[in-house]
Amino acid sequence: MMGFEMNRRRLLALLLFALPARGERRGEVYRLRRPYNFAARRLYPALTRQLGAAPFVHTLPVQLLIDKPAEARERAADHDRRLAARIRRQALDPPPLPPSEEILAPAWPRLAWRVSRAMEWTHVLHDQLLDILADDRVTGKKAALDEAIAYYRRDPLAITAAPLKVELMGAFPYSHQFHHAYPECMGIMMAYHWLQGIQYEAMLEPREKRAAAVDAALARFRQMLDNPPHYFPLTHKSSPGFHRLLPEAGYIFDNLHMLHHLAQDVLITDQVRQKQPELRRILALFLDSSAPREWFAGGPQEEPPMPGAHARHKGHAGHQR
Amino acid sequence: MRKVLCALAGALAGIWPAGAADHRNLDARVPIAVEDAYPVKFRELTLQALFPYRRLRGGGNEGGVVADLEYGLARDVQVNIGTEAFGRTRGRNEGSGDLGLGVLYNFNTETLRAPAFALKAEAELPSGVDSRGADLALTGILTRSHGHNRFHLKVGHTWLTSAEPDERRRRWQGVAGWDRPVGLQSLLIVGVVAGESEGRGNPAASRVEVGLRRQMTPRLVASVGAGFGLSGGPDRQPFFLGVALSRSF
Repeated sequence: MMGFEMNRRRLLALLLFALPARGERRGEVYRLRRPYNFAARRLYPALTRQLGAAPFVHTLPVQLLIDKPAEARERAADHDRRLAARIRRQALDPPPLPPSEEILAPAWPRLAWRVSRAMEWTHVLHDQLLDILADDRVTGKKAALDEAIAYYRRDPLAITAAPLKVELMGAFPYSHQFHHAYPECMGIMMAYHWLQGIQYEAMLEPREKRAAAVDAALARFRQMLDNPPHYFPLTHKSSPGFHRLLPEAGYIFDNLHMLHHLAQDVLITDQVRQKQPELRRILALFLDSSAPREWFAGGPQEEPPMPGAHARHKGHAGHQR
Repeated sequence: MRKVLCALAGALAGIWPAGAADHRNLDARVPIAVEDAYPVKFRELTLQALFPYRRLRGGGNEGGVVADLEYGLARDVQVNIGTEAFGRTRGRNEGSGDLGLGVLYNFNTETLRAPAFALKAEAELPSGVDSRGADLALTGILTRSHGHNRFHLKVGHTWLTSAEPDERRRRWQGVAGWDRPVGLQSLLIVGVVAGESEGRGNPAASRVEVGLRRQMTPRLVASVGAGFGLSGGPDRQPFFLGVALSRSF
């Protein structure tokens, strides 16, 4: 009896071990399981390898802003140069496999899991749409693309497929602060967002011309690493054929890029002390389930210029469209 | 046995539609006992094949294959089914072929303040050689990060429904572990396992383990691990080595 009592207490202790677990649910969902997954990696390895370095530009500044916020603000120019140099090195010699964002910036998902997961989930959609377009074994590509988007949108953290006004990026007291403080990193990010758009256009070429289109896109992208776009790239401009085929996908990706932009502003600003609630508030503006209609643009927009993007690029003429 | 190996090889080679594996998602025995509090993703299907070898106390060797299938049944819920087949150079292969079932529920993801928690329930059914009674286990798992380091704590209780006279009917076991990325695609894992011995009256058993997991392709993770016993009297495990492959579908 005594032993039973002892074990019951131990069992209770074990359960109590788990009960304090409150807070953010993880809720991860697996990609749509289809034979085309990773086809682009097999068929266009240079492209997917280049894209695989994108996590560096998304996460290295974020990790710094979370770890050392005051220093990241006060010594922004030094850190911008240092991080941009590291990101460029990775972009010019990308790792064979894309690194997990949790390895590059372990503090980011712990600070803002829902934002991190919304971004990651949309990156998975990026990959799947590329795989569908790259893989000519897929018969009925439009149906496969629609299926992938419908699967993506079933998740509560799916980003809205309505075009959000680009003015949203400038609507907050802290808007564009990251961009002004970290122009070189931001420039590389704009180059990556341009590549993430034009990759689809390359895939729409006939099969025999596709490799050349990919090579041309990659060559232009590498030029952009030193000479980044002066504007916020929008998918309907960089990839008009893809936009006609699947406008909602382009809007999702443009919105994702705006979310990246604003999340970095929230992290860098000293006007926002409580980062978590503000990041949640920003995220709600972008989600399918909660995006407010007053921010819907109704259709394609002009690519907005990026103020302050070239404060330290005086030696460069800047990338022209 | 040959059929099991052929099926594993076919599946690992990629007959099914592909998904993405994650070398940071730690499961018990793949390659060592350290486990994190996270399940596989909802609808993710992962096949793990482990090839363990251990030196038996008092001489002799044991080697075999463990196959385990994990599935994300719902958000934050993982179920698994597995079996192992092994042979020994001395003694009977008692327990070889037992069927293992498990469910892991993750309560939360880690935040800057709170660690991640999970609870796991397991049953080992006596479908194998000379096996009697089911073994039931309930385990709590905690994962906490500090920078790039992750720390894991696992505390579990096992009940044997049909224990031998010299076996403990109930026993506790704990695992404390640490992992850290090595480069971009590898993970170093170190763990200490301690708990009550299987044999009634034997001193507490403990061992240290070290493992490495590496992302080989987006869908394949390879692991290798080794460990040796520190204490446990007759239950001390002299040495073990394991190689594993995990593939997501």
